[in-house]
Amino acid sequence: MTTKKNFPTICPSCGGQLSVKSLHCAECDTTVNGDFAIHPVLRLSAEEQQFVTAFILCSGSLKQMAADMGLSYPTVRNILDEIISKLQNYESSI
Amino acid sequence: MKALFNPFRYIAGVKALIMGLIFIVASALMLYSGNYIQDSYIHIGMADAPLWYVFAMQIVWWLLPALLLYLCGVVLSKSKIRIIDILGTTAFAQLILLMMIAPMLLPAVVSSTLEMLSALQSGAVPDMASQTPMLIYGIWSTFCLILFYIWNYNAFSVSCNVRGWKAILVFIAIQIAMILVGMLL
Repeated sequence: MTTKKNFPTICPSCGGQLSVKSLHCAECDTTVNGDFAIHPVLRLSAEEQQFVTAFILCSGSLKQMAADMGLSYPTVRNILDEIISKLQNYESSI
Repeated sequence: MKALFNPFRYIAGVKALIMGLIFIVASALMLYSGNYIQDSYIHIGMADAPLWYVFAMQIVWWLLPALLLYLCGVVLSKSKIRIIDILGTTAFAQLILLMMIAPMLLPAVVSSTLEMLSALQSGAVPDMASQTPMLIYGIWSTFCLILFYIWNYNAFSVSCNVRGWKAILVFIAIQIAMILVGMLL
């Protein structure tokens, strides 16, 4: 069984933003080359992406998220605000 | 360890407010039974005041800084903050005051305090051996006082989503203002 690697968004050499150059179909072995931008959500850390997924899955209810995560409401709201701020920065940098 | 210094990561809002109000009532009852009163922001004095007055003073010294912190949060924060969070977290922080007040009622601390007061009034040097309970209480109350400020800052920081030097400066300014108000009243 192969382990799934995390999607890298930062260059390990210089710290710059990575973009996708090549996409590959495992079914027919086709490879598409180009310069594809990474969606801002994918630039978030693995924990932040998990948070966004959980937020969508509980219909955006921060109260529900706080209860599920065992954190207080303002703590969860602060995490969300930090993610919003990061996404806004990514959007403005495009 | 995180919860010791910042319990508001885990508790806030109505739940914290209800628990905080229980701590305030318990503190008022303890102060009343020992003929004490919270006569300023972080000072406990001796007074033969009725229970309602002792309780009212507890409420005033919790609510006044909490409302000031909320107003500063509204100005400083970019987040949509809720007043229930700042009221709840600051009320919950009153647990530290309760931890400071409870040992004041211990017979050893009471007798040690009375002994020192009478020695000072008569101009005599207090017997150091009999002052041990008071000394231990002094160390305990200093620890509680530091924790009280840490908890209140974290209550402000978490509830209003403010951090950094601006938040620290505003917090210190409000603490100084509260001490000055206490001295003036």
